[in-house]
Amino acid sequence: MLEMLSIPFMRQAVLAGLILAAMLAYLGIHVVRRRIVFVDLAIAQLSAVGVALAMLLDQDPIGFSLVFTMVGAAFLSLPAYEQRIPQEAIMGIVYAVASAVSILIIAKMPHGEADILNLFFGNILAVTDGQIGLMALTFGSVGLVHLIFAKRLIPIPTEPGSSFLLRAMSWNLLFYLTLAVVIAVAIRTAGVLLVFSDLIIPAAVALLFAERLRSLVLLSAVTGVLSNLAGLYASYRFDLPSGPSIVASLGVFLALAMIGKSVALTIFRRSGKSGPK
Amino acid sequence: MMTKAVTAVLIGSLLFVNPTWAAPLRVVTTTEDLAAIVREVGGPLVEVESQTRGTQDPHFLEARPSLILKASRADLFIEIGLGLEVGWVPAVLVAARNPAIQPGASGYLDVSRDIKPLEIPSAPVDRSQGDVHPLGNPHYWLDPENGKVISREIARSLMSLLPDRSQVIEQNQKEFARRLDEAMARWKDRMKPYEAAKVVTYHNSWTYFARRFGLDVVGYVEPKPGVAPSPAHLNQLIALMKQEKAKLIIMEPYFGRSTPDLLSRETGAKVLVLPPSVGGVEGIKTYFDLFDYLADQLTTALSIGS
Repeated sequence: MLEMLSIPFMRQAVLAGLILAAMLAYLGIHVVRRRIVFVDLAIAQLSAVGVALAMLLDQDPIGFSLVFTMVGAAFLSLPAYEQRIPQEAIMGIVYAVASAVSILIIAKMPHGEADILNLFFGNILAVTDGQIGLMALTFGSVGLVHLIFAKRLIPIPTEPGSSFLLRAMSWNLLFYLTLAVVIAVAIRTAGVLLVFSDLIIPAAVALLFAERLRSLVLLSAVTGVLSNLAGLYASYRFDLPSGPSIVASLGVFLALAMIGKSVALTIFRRSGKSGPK
Repeated sequence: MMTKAVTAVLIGSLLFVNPTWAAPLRVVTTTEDLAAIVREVGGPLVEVESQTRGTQDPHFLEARPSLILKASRADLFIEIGLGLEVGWVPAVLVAARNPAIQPGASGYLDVSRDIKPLEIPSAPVDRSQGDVHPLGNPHYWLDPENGKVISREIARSLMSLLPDRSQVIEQNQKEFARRLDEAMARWKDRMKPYEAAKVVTYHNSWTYFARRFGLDVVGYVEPKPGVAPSPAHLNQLIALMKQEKAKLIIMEPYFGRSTPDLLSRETGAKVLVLPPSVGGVEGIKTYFDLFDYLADQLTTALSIGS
């Protein structure tokens, strides 16, 4: 472990991994509880459409993808238009259609291959000091906003049609915008696969064992940080690509947590006590 | 005695003591083709390793820690350039934090500098030509004449890093060029009977090869890798292949076979999977092996077809 930390780029990757894991583990709790796990993929793919369009029009890709991300997040924050279609389905649809659109745009581009969009998705091994600084800045600000407005941001908006709809909608909009900023910065640093996993898996582990927000956040963050460390170490030790190693490590943590919980439940039942539900 | 000396030097360099004159220069290349040519020119003066394997598409690479570690300890980093490795080399160079091999430093070499690229887009508006690299087609190592240019570039870099070994390096390069000329005559002889044979290639990666050895590429399967061809493109290509009596569909091992197989069913042309790099098939260890293998495969496939 110490040997790994003596290598500059591994040290940077560990630092970036820890920052990402902590921030995403926190937001992931809200994302999973709101049942919007596809929000991350939808936003990532919308930013890819922005990049593709910018290249087609010969414009600045970063600016374009930021605009697409923000407008997309605002759209996704709107309350369900039709009760019979869950928000989850909308997110999935946005993901699929945006993926298709970005491929169609590339098909019309004079040069460029489908994988050109991957250039805008980062790799945690190649993280730069600038990216770490940017993460610290944006994640810090988002964390602060969430801390100050916790009471407003955290409740899940209920049925549309309530009397404070407009106000609820604008708080919901703020939640989505903060989420979009974090995701936009995160995917440029660590890539789509790792960001999705860092967002969802630690939250899932936490939800297995805790109920109150404080313990959920704590458990999620601990899981995220530990599995990122384990994944990066495995990547270093066995010379594997880092992103996929961390994702696999998150998967192992979740599997162990699930086994642990069912074993614990069985023991509780056997001993006749009333265990956790 | 000798082994002891070498071990001492190796340990010395591992301990970050100034490498002495006998320590081999550490060279990292992006592809096996470059590594093979470095071995020809540098001989025992260098220790070379490629970041991609010959079986991989050099456009893409998922960086592993060891690759970055090697780049961080390299004395010389060599890439094909013209945008071939643009998806990953910048990230590897940033992560390696090795000032000696950053673009502009004497330990960085883009061998495309002296190459005359084909297919430089003259007007950026024409979208019908398929995938066009803005700097020109980067698959130039598939023409042995360009192999000579590459070896000269590599020799120049090695000589600037090892000035007191200049003579040996220059000799090696001259010898490599001479053997290449010799082999070239052999390859051209073998390909001669199939001059102007009509083929279709998966992507535009065989342009230089085809031009040198007289193959006529009449179309591309997937003008843009990763973007499935449109129905209109397939229709045109099938009609064209029938009209031109194209015998072969040449593709790299790392592309999907479904569209080439469809074309083969529709037109009767044969699908031939060819490695575009040293190491792409077991046994191809040198730059010469590569063209021997390609000539073997092509002449066999074309003689059956005709």
